[in-house]
Amino acid sequence: MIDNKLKDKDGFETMYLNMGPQHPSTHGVLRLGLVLDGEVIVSAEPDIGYLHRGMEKLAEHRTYQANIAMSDRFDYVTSMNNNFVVALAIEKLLGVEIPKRAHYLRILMAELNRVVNHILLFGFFAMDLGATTALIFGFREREEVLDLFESVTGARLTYNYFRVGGVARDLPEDFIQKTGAFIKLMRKRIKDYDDLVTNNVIFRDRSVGIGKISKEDILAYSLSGPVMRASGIKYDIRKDDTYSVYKEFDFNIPTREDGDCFDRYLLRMLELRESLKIIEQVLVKLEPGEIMAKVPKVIKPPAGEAYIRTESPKGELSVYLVSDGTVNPYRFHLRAPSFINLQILQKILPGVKVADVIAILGSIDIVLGEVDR
Amino acid sequence: MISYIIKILKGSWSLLVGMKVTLKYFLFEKAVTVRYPYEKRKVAPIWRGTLRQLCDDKGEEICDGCQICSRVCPVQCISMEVFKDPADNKRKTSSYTVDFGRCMYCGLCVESCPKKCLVHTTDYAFVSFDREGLVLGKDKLVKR
Ligand code: SF4
Ligand code: SF4
Repeated sequence: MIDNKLKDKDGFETMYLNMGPQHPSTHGVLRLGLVLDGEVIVSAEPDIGYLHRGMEKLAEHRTYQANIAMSDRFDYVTSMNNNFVVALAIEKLLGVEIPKRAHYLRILMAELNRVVNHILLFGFFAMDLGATTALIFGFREREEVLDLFESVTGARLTYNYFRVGGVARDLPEDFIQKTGAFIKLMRKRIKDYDDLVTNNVIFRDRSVGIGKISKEDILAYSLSGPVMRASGIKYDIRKDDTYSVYKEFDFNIPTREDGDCFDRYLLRMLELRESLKIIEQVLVKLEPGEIMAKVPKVIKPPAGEAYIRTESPKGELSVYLVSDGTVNPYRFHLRAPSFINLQILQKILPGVKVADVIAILGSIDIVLGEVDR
Repeated sequence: MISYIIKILKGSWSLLVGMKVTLKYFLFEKAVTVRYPYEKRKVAPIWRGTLRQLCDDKGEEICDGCQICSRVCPVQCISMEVFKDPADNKRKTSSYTVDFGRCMYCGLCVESCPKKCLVHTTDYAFVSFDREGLVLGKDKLVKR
C-alpha cells in the first residue's frame, strides 16, 4: 500500500485511486495504486499476483514433456515462444541435436507467433487510446494466423506443439501456400494500419513524447525486447546471442531513438515486417525430412543445470532448469520479460496524466499470465 | 492560433484517410465474422477436442489398460481400474474415467497411446451444469 496521506506540492491532500484489477484497460488483472494530485500522478505502485498459479512450483511435479504443455499458459498470447524456450532448455540438459526441419518449423512457428503478438499490440494500444476499429482489425488478422496454427497443432491458443527433440506434427499440405498468402495479405494490411493509426494526427499527439524511458533507465531496470530497442539500444538475442538456426536468416533489428510510447509502438510495426521476412525465408528453405530426433520415451536428463535465453516478442524470455536426474525437474525458473518490464512504471508514471497511464501501460506490452505465473 | 487551426485541419484529414480504410472494408469486403450459434465454422480435422476411445471391428474395446495415458497426463485427469479377464487371459479396464473439468486438451495422452485407441473428437462445445457432468465414464467415452 502507498501512504495516501502523501501531500501534493502545494500541501493539499491527494487522492488515492485503485486502477484495476477489473479495469478494462489494464490488460488483465493488474492493479495500479495511483496517488493523484488532480489529474497528475504523484506516485504509482503496480500490484501483481491476481493471476498467480504457482507455475514454477507446479513444474517441479510435472514431467519434462508436461512442462512444455504447461508453458503455453505463461504468456498465452505467444505460446509458441514459451514452448520454444522450455524445449531448448530441456534439450540442452539432454544434449540432443534436433533435425534441420524441426529447427525451421520451430522458427516458423515462433515468428508467426511474434506477428500475432505485434498485431494484437497494434489493436490493444490503439484501443487504449480510443480507436476501436484498430482492435477489430488486429483481431481479424490474428484469426488468419490462428487458423494456420489450428491446422498444424489442433488448438487455437494452447498449442503444445514443441516436443523434446523436435515438433509434434508435420505441416499439412497447403500450409506453405496458405502462409505465403498470409504474408502477402499482411503486407497489404500493414499499409492500412499506417493509414488508420500510425499516421493519424490525434494518435501521434497522444503518444509522441509520452512516457519516455531513457537509456540509463533501460539498463538500470534491465528492461528488454522492444521496450529496450525503442530507446536506442540495439540488442536482440536472436542476433547477438543466437540460438536455434537464427543465424541462417537475414533480418534487421530495427531501433528507435526517443523511447516514448509512439516509438515503442512503431518499433513493433517495424519488427512485424522483419518477422514476415524471416517467415518468407523459412518457407523457401524448408526441405522434407525428419521432425523428431531420437529421444528416450521417458525423459531423464542427467543431473545438471541449463540456462537458455531467447527473444520472445515481449523481451528476453529465459529458463533456468536444474535436473537431479529424475523424471521431474528439480528447479524451474522463468525470467519473464513482462514482469521485469513492468517495474519501470513506478519510475516513469509520476508526473504524467491519468489518461497517459493507459497509453504507457499499453505500449510496454505486458501479459499478466507471464507476470504472475 | 494559426498553427492550432492547421492542426485541426490536419487531424480531420487524417481521420478521413482512416475512414477511407474502414469504408473500403465496409463496402467492398465480405464480413469476416460468423454468427455463431446459427452458423458454425469448421474446425481443423486434427482439432484437439474431448477424448473418445475407439473399438475394433467387432465392437470390442481395443484399450488394454496399460495406463500409459494416465501416467503422461500433466494434470492426472484419467483414472482407470484394471483387471485380468479369466475368459481370454487379457488385461482389460473395468472403469475408465476422464475428468474434462481438469483436462487441458494437451493431446499428450493421445500421442502416447500404444494401441492408438484414444482419439480426440472435433467437438468444441462440451458443457455441463455441474462439475460431475464433466466427468465422463466408459458409457460415454467408448465409441462403439
Ligand atoms: S488431453 Fe492432456 S490433460 Fe487431457 S487427458 Fe489427455 S493428457 Fe490429460
Ligand atoms: S494408453 Fe491407450 S491402451 Fe493404454 S490405457 Fe490408455 S487408452 Fe488404454
